[in-house]
Amino acid sequence: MSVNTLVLDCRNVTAHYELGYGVRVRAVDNVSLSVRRGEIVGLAGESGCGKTTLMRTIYRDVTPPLRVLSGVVRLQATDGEMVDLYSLSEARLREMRAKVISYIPQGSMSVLNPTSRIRSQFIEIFQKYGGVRKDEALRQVKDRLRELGLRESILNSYPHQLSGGMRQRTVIALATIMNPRIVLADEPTSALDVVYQRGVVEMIQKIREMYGTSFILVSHDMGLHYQVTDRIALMYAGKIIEVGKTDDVFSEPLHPYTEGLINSLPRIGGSKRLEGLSGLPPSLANPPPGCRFHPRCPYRMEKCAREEPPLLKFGDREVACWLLEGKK
Amino acid sequence: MGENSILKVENLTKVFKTGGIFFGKKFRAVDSVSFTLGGDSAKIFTIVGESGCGKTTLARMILSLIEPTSGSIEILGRQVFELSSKERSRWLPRVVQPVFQNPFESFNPLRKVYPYLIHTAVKVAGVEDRGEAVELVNQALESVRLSPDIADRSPYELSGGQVQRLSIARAIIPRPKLIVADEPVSMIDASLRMGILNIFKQLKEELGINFIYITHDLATAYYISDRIAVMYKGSFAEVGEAEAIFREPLHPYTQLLIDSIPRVDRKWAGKVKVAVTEVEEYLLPGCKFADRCPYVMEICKKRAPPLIRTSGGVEVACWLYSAEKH
Ligand SMILES: Nc1ncnc2c1ncn2[C@@H]1O[C@H](COP(=O)(O)OP(=O)(O)OP(=O)(O)O)[C@@H](O)[C@H]1O
Ligand SMILES: Nc1ncnc2c1ncn2[C@@H]1O[C@H](COP(=O)(O)OP(=O)(O)O)[C@@H](O)[C@H]1O
Ligand code: SF4
Ligand code: SF4
Ligand SMILES: [Mg+2]
Ligand SMILES: [Mg+2]
Repeated sequence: MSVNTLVLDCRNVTAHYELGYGVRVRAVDNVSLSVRRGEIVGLAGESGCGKTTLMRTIYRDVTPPLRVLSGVVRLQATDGEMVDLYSLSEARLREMRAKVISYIPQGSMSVLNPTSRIRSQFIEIFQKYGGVRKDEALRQVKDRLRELGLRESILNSYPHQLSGGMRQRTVIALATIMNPRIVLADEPTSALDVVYQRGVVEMIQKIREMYGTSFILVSHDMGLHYQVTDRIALMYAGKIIEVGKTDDVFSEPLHPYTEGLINSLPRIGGSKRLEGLSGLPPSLANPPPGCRFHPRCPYRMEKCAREEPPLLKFGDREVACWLLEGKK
Repeated sequence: MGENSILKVENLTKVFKTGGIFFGKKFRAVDSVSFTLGGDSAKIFTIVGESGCGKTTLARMILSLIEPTSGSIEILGRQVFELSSKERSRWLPRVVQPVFQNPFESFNPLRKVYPYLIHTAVKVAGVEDRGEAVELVNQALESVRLSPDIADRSPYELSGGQVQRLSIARAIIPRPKLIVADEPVSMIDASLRMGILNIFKQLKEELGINFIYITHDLATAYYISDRIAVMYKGSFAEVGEAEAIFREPLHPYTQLLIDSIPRVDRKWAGKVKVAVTEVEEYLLPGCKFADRCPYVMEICKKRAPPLIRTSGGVEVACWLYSAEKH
């Protein structure tokens, strides 16, 4: 299988919260994002910009008031076979989850069952999806822990006995035990301090290397994206406004929002006075017309308030900004 | 520092008894912490450390929100725990003010902001004249760059960043000497954080307000601090000038911490070692970092290292820097 194989292809997806009384929160608006095999793609953006909603949409975890209005989400079910996630039967969808796509929701340290030992939680997943006997399941779980450099002793612990960092690694080990092709990890380290955070992302990198797993890593921490992601997508007010190779985006941000965000990050050793972006992110119930960033954009032009800039492609970079119209 | 001392904390300790997690054991959430804050000009003193290391417990003791198990706190030369209850409710809030992590906690969601700020000026700052109160409130709003019309709304009509600015405005109305800010920007978006931290710098310079800035974010700590204390499992591991500590961290834990910052200008090298449980470390008899420390020696597992002053002026709690180690 070529390294360039797509495992996820999400095209022009629009998903809104329909709250009645004509109120509609445009949390995901015409978003396209693809992930290749073994790739760690970062998703960054301010609180409330739609990151979690996009993850839910990609996992088809869609319940009212959230509704998918248009778009296609395709997943690689087997080598060389892309399936449309939204056309699958419930039974097929259940089978795809855990084995093809796995989701680690935001605040997931609480998904561990507090009253049962880690051992039983692993065995349960294994038996549910793997259809193997208990002793065989336990053997495979132990092998996996060893491969990931986790101590076997965690199996005898209850979740609350583990440190936050160890609990989060356990959650990730559980989510990847069936070797899914892609894992959606929503803020997996935001409750952790830097040392534990680093331990968790090192494990994510190890899983990627050992099993070729792809990840979408949602985080508002730009430093984390710089350290671990291969590509980064920036979301602003329900839209993806820039996508590119992480190193390129950090060294040369093209969208004015990305530029403002990256320039406002404090650097150790730096002595420059930093200014945040002015203004506030817009309400998604009533986003501004045209470019959604225009009220805060230092470069806005007349056209920006009228017409929405499309996501334009420049080599392996994509940017939605009128400044770049006709460039390259 | 004597005369100019704003805050003097000595051997401050808080012991919690817990069932469940710690199997009925007592543990020292804050263990013999000492430091002073003061001098000729106002300072920003930052306490950094991982979640659960005792930062909030320390802050709450300084704010007199909880009683220490032992130790003392002196504010402007006066022992806080010897104050009469009247002085505690009147004098203390005029000299020390909090800013909390969740700005919405500081405000009643149903109440308009402006009358609440006026109330603070009258009740806490003790301003009797209404015109003077209005002026004080407007000045405070200007200092945090909010226009007075914003204060006519209710907190739920404002963004997290705006409400945090309001809670800073509320805190500066009594013109305190010290503001204790516990994770004031961790719930605020990256693009708005620097604006708030710049306000702290400006209040320090223009109004001479001292800050205790509590955070787990080392990059913002570097940006605004004069001095830094690195806290680990209840005690200070290292205290000194921010510049010196970031340039040359001495304590092995500080080194690990600084190496683990997800910087945006340099990538990580090597791997880290993470503790399996938190309980294990809190209950270690000697240095609480001994299980993870690459330089651990015999003495480390037996006795907790004292805070040792190095020639560079940094204080470090590690046997590596003690003449006594062998
Ligand atoms: N169940 C819901 N009903 C109505 N609106 C919702 C619901 N969940 C989220 N929203 C709204 O949708 C928008 C996007 O929310 P989402 O949770 O996707 O943001 P996010 O980018 O993940 O934010 P954060 O960084 O805070 O996790 C926000 O305006 C939010 O208030
Ligand atoms: N009221 C309490 N009773 C028992 N344990 C507590 C209490 N408050 C805090 N702790 C514990 O004390 C330790 C330090 O907590 P805290 O001061 O909140 O840390 P930080 O602010 O650094 O995250 C933690 O282990 C926490 O669970
Ligand atoms: S399209 Fe216009 S307003 Fe939007 S980011 Fe580009 S220049 Fe700014
Ligand atoms: S006292 Fe010993 S174990 Fe603790 S940090 Fe220093 S060398 Fe390491
Ligand atoms: Mg989210
Ligand atoms: Mg805290």
